Amino acid sequence: MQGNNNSLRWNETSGNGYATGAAIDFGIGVVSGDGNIIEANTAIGNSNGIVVFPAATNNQVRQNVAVGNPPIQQSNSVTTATGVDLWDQSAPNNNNTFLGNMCVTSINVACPTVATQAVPRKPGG
Amino acid sequence: MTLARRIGLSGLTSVALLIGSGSADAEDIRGTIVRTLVLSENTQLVGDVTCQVAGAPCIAFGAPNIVLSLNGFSITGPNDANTGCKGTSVGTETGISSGGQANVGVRGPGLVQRFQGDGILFNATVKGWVQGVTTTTNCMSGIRINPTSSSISVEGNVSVRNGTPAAACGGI
Repeated sequence: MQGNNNSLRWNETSGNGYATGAAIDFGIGVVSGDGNIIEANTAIGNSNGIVVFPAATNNQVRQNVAVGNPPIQQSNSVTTATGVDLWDQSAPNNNNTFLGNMCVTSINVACPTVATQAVPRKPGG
Repeated sequence: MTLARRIGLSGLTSVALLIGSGSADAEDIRGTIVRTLVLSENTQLVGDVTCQVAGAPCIAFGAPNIVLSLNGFSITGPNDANTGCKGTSVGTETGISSGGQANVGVRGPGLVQRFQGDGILFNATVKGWVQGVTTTTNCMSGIRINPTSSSISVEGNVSVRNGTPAAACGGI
């Protein structure tokens, strides 16, 4: 995702992205942009779960479930690749915030030690 | 039936069919698309669609404030069912492009799959939306919002097995 003031809610992403190659792939990616909200989505079994790239500013990543990124066989068979559930590549003064997400592995983002929520679903869906 | 729609859909010889709209304010589409189908009013799928468009979007919005309803049907590109790619990705070969139009939407349920570029692309669009759509096996992202788009709502979609090793992309 790029652009400004967009919202992503109740989406399910899995099995996206390549472990090899020059690019960093993802289930959900904020490649650039400002003021976006990524909320109550799931990212499971992607090359990376949710990635906020260096050019992104003032985005909120909250109440998402990102686990199992990448799948276990990929972690073990492509050992040169970095893959995690949550990854904040931006500088701290970019003001991107992560709140209440469930994850197991991460870079520059804290993961809770226990599950804090059920898998999000669209209300009534 | 718009002229663009006549041009975009192939003839009966290639099993494409176009049937009349069931309502006064919507067009119905199904069959094979061989050139970019530009939407000028509310449109719905009444059957599965197969795309054979090279180097350009399969379906593009050509007017603001309209909706494409998939009605549980699929839009399928020409690419490999397993990898989504035929070699490298081609960014212009999008399944559905917002075409720079404001306040346009794609309503599911429905499936957008096997395109050489993105499944659904919001390009220079303000206040677009996509809801309840499954995107799979596209060679770039399942759903992508480009840098010149804003206030796009992406809700309740499923995005699986999209991506290319050559560009930062994936589900959404």
